Amino acid sequence: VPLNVDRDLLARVLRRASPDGPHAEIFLEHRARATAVLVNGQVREPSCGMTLGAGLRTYGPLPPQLVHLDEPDEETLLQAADRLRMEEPETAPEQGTAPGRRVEVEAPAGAISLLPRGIAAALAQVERGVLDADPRMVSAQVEYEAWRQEILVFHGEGRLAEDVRAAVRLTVRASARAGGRVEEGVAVVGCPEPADLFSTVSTAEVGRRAGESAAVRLDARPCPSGEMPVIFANRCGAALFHEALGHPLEADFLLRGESPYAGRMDEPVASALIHVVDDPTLTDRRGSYRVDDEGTAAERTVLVENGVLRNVLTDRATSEALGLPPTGNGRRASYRDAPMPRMSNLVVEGWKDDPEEILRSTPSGLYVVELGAARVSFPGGDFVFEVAEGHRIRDGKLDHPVEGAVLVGRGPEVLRRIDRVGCDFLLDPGAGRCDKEGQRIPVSLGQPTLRVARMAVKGTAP
Amino acid sequence: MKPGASGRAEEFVGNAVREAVARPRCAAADAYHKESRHRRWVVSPGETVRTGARQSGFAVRLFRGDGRVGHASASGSGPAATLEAVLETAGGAADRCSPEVAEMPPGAWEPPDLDLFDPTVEQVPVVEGLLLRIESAVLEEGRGEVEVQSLVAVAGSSRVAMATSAGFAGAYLSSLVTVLLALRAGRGGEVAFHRTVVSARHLATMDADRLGRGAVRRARLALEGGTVRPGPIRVALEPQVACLLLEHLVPSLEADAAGRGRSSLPAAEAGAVVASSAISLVDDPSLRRGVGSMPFDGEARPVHRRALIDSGALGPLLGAAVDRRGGRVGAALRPSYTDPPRRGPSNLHLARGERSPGNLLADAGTVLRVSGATLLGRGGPASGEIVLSASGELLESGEPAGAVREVTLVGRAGELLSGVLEVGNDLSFHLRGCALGSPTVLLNGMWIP
Repeated sequence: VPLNVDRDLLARVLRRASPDGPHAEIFLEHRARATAVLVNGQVREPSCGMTLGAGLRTYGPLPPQLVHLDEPDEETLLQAADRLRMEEPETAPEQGTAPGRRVEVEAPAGAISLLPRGIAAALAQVERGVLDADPRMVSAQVEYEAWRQEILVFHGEGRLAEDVRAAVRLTVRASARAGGRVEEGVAVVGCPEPADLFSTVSTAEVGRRAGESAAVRLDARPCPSGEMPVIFANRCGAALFHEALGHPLEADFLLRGESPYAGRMDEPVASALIHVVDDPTLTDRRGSYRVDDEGTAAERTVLVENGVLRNVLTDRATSEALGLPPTGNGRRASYRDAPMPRMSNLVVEGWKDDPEEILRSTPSGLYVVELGAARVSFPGGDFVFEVAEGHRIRDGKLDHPVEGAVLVGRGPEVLRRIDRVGCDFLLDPGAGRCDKEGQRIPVSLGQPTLRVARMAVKGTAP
Repeated sequence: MKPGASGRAEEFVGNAVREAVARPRCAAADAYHKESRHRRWVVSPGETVRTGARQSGFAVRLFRGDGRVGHASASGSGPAATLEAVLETAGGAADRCSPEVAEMPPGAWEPPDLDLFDPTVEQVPVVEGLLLRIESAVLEEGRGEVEVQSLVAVAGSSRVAMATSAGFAGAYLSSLVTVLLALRAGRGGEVAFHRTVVSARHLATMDADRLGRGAVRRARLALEGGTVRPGPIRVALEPQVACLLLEHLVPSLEADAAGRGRSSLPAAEAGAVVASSAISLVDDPSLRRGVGSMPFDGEARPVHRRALIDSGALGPLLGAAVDRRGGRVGAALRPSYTDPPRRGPSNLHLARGERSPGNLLADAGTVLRVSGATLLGRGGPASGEIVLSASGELLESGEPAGAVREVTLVGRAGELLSGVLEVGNDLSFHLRGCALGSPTVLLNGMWIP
């Protein structure tokens, strides 16, 4: 039991908030976090933090309201419940002054345990990997972040759910210079525990990958514009699907009329080769959990089956509004935020094509290794994706890397044009995150090599 | 007690510092406490959801004599056991730091009053009145074609207190109101969405009518827009769009990063010409009522106005230890009590020009005025590559010549800085991590692929 909480107190708080029925919920969160940055061989200002907080919410026939508290104790929890009952959530109670009766936490270890003693040596090894990658490397920056979160969700009807989540993320930035040109490459990797990062991941390899990415960008030439076949390598991490399919299938977008997939259940929305699943039950992935942040059990949700839309992602409120069963996708960035429907681990399943053969059978086009920033407009689903790393394809082989390439299209149309799906499914290296309405949460993505038969590429070549 | 200061918070940080320096091997310490309270309104058709919250937390930095430093934080500011755990953790973090990276905290000095607090921000009827005026402006200007999809306001105040073992003790109170206006424009089967975000320390500086009507104009452009032929194009970036370019430029302005080659500026030496003479880029944490202003920085140091680029010539970059006159420069930010201080801008802005945007555009020939954009380009600061997904309108000598929707604009930071022809006098600030400010910017050097 991660949080040693007086359950009777929680029940009393919720009865106070919603005396006429069980229409209230309390979300307790304890989080430990550690960060460190290595620059020029030096670890600068390592940091650890601990937060404990509670989010109280009313729902159902009651007006939806949310109050959150830092370091909750009996007095402030009961005061917060009063505010909800009186529909005055904007006057949250003052921080409690009396010691004791604070919600007790039995954290397995302090935040310092997230910052291993050998951190400086391990990060220096990553830096060495960068500098050894190419003679044109000029510097590296290595950012380390680890966190562990323990949550408890208690509902007015007495239902209780708990979960423990943890993740480590290493971000490596490499700068390379040739002549007057400077380029940056980034590599990220993640795992559940700090010990895993330095035992199961080759730190020098992560550094080398960032260095090589910078070196590739140094050699890049302007990309031509036009309609062409585009191959998305499995390293693209399903970013296209995340933006063009995953978000529009979050039920709040559907309810607001902002999704191109509204009213299209059981209709074809993608090539028949495409299967897409949201699966928070995958073991040790960044988007994995046992229960979501509303206490609903996590489950694997088939979104698209043989190209046909089968499900959408819901939290409790949107599942009620749509009359659908909850899929366990109510997630929040912290106790300070309201839950909303979010993706967890989005998986585009592999098929049978040999990725090498997909490339060989493409006389010319664009090979995308990594996608960058994106803009998606709803409800049409028009998107613009920056190509962070890509190569021209000539005669079925990779030619020079390109710069300044942008992919333009409309999600539902592009997904229907996928004509090849590789057998090389790959999950991202465990460092994904997703921003929505100011809330950032960890996610994972995965895909095999895919080819879109034809899509618009905008480049800067004359 | 100083104006706006919480006696309890000042007492707490003072005690935390005393407890820290009493520990073995602690050469110095500073403590930071932040408490904030805010109200939030989410207004959507048929429903208004209100929430409210108070947050508080503190952080301690513990310095070793050999230049190591460790940072630890916790929410709240309650039990002594929490402070003890934080001090223990900060010591452990310092042991994992490399030597000779830390600069000892400053001694006593008197921070200025920057007029950062407006009590009306905490008055519910006043904020709700502002929201009503924004809705009315949209209703009137939208004429049934553009409507409010959602209107979100966050209004409140925060109190920061700091103390150092060298004798500094200071506190300040600040208010902030942020309004996010999301509009839905529809005509026939076409639908377009537009979002505007504005922030202010004082409610009186927020013009509801201008905000509502300006947002409706941009939403209509997004609805009506056509395309533009590929090729080079002269653009006029409206202030909120120009701020996107400043955001991209921020990492290049950090002395440490620039020194390591992670800069998209063509040169990193002070005095080098890196931009058109129309460009003066200023960071001013001491701006009165500034959205990013602070009387002292995240390390309790004094803050000053600095010209990072002065009429095109590079000045001392962010994080440079001293300015041109040899004065100490405070430039450490703490976005939250959980974050250790990091170098960064506070109110980074392009200095305003002489002429209004209207006069400037009337003499500019054919121009794409960009009124909405998303910055694509995760390539990082070093590449300098900028890709904008933009919408706006074509102007011929300042007269409208057709709306433009979802056009891709490409450029490189160095070329764009050199390509600035003129800036307007309509400086406005936008919160994007830090406060970024710009007037309308007229420039060559962008390209439509």
